[in-house]
Amino acid sequence: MSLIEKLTPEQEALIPVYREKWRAIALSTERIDREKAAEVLKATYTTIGKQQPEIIFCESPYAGLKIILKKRNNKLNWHNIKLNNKLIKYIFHIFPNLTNKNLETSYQLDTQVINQLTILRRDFIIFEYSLKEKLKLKIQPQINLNHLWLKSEYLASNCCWIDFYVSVLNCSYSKMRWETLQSLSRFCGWISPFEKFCIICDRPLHLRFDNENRLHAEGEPAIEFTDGYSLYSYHGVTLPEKYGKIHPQQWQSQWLLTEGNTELRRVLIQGIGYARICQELQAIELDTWQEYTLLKIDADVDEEAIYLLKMTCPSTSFIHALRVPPNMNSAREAIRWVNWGIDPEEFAVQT
Amino acid sequence: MQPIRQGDVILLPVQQIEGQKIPHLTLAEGEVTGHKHRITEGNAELYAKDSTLYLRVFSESALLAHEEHKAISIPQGDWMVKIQREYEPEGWRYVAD
Repeated sequence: MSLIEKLTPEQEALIPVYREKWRAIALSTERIDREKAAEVLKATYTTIGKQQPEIIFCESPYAGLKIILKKRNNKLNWHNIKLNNKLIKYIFHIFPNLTNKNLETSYQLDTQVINQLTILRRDFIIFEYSLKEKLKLKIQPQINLNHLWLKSEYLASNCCWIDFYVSVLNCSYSKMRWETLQSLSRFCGWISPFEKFCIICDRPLHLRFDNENRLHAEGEPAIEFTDGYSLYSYHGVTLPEKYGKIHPQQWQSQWLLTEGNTELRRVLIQGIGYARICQELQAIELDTWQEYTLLKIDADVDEEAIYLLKMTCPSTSFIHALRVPPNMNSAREAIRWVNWGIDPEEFAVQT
Repeated sequence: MQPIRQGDVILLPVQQIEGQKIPHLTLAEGEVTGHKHRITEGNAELYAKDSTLYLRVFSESALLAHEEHKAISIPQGDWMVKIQREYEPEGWRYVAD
């Protein structure tokens, strides 16, 4: 594979075409054709020298995980999960002329091209956190959720740049591996491949994004599967159901005082709006210094007076709020307390 | 050397690092965003002792990156990783995002 140093204008113009093509495949919400999916999987197992597995279909990753846990607990066909790696190793070895030595160099040169051909943000990774939370996995050894599923959108995201390299840049490639990868991506949803069985999870029923392609929905799930398993997200931040199912216009300012996670508090402030919060909590601005404001909450919500430090992030301009001790007299004293006694002017850099 | 702050992560210069080396370079990770404060360039190692992380930068500098905050060049040397705190009536807790 020759090193790509510069694309011609014609090649450059084709980038959005390939992005759109594979994005549509990656984010499809059509039901999978089970017969076709099973056929592709069985052929793939044969290709990597494995016997045909038992194919089990499920409606959501949650349902799939429950099947896996049941199999494991019953020690039914409990063999290696590492088939994932074997599969990945096979399907991604598409460019035979690419040796390890020139892989590094070409990767560096091509990073920009590959970045332009990357079609998905990493939101789907966050998905695993909520799965873990939902299942409250306490079973030892814990299942590594990050490597449980081979996701169609991950495969499609890779297909995007591989397709470009094969079709536009005419790189020599392994036809069989490329066809396997494409089939898995197009027909199979999420798969969890084991030695003796393979779970195929159908695609979500709904996927919702904001205009920056972050998972996002208001008052409804951002990802919803047919069995009801869903994920709530606000501009890419995973929300617990208690907030996610309610439209931000109906979010309560009081939630801010009981929410323990600062990022979720930041989202609540963004969704409710600082002005409504000040009004509803009867917040009094006691002192302001640089990007910090010390607030006292007058609403009768806690035995002890609540003092909040409002901070505007210099990088994102988002408003954050942290509770500080009630004996704080100034915004500067409060931020010094938050930063373990370090005065803001002592920092060499803050971002 | 002066302290450095990226979001809720504070780096304090220290004389000596402590603890066992850990096999990654993520200083902190947000639970609901998945965003990470991590070293992406340069030669560095992380150590852990009693839930406190220490960073040793071997190269002239190392780059501390995060999805939302501007990246910061961390000078060669030893650093203690502190997380901002917030008040609760029982005392304080580390800021968790």
